Amino acid sequence: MNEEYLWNKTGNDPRIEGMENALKAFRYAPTAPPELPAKTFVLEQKPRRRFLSFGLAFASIAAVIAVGVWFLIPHKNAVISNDLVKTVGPQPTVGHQVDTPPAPKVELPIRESSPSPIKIRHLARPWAKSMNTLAFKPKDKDHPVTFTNEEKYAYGQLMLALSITESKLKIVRDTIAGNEEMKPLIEKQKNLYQK
Amino acid sequence: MRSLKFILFLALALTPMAVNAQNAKLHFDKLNGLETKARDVVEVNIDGRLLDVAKRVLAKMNDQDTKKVAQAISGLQAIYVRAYNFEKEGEYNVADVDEIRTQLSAPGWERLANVRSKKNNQKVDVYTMFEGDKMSGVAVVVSESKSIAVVNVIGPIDIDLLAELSGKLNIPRIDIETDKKSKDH
Repeated sequence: MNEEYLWNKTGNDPRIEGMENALKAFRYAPTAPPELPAKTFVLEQKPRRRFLSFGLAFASIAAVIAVGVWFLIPHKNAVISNDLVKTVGPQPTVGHQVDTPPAPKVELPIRESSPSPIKIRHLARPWAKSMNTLAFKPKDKDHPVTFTNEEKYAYGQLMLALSITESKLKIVRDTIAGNEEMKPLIEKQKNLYQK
Repeated sequence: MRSLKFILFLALALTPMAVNAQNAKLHFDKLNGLETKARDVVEVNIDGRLLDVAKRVLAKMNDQDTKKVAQAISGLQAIYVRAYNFEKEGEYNVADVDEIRTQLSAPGWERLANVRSKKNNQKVDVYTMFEGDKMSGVAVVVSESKSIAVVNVIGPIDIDLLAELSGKLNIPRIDIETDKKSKDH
């Protein structure tokens, strides 16, 4: 192989020339550039509104936080979740245009214990009436015993129940006192209990 | 695994006791309708936490009568009271009270006393339920022409001690004072 012909095209080399002729069809020939498609779209570049995007994102986050904080803070007109105290505000009036001073809010205590532990309506007996005004009075002034409202309530209800129980049993006892036939039966039950 | 077996054993062992204690509880559904008809209504339900709190109060007090009450109810599990007073005769349905008496005819209940008087058409029944030799329930049903009262005690209660404390339960001697009006009564 003639190196001079290969690199500098000087002299001749029939073997390389033969290969050149064989590949002649693929030789570079300058032609016109390819045409663009008939329709072209030119996109207008809009100025980016980055500040607006950031602003919207920030406002959304701030709104979410504000709503969360609103629900976390207890409000005057809301019902407290533990149902211990229910606050009732003034009711809105319809079609009443005169400005009136707002009505005072009333707090209604709701009992925490099991459903309807006691219902008393127009109690006839004096002892039952007195249950509404029960108050604890410590006997030992040097070591006064203090009670919570719940304790006072529970104690009052227990005493009321025991009083009624005892009074009803007293009816039976008084009747039995005048009836000799029933005494052995009662004694039998009493002995069974004492065992 | 061993502790699991023990818990299972304990649960199985205690189940009959729990079932029996539950049996002593009466159902007052039939009496609910009387609330609207009656002039005076007393409804007391003391069980669970409320009873525990009341017992705690009794334990705190340093008084002989209170100690006796605490002793009388030491095993008490619950107490339910329904009392209705009516303006006129025949304002309640006798069948409603008889339904309670029917519940007391169930096995386990024993009639301790049965009082019938033509005066005011009075009927008084006292029932007890025993679990072995231990009292597990008491029921008192009192019906008169103008009133009904049902007391249901669950768990042991010392009736004699309660009787001994008669008249001392609700007022001053257990560290309770009332207003002047009620004292006058």
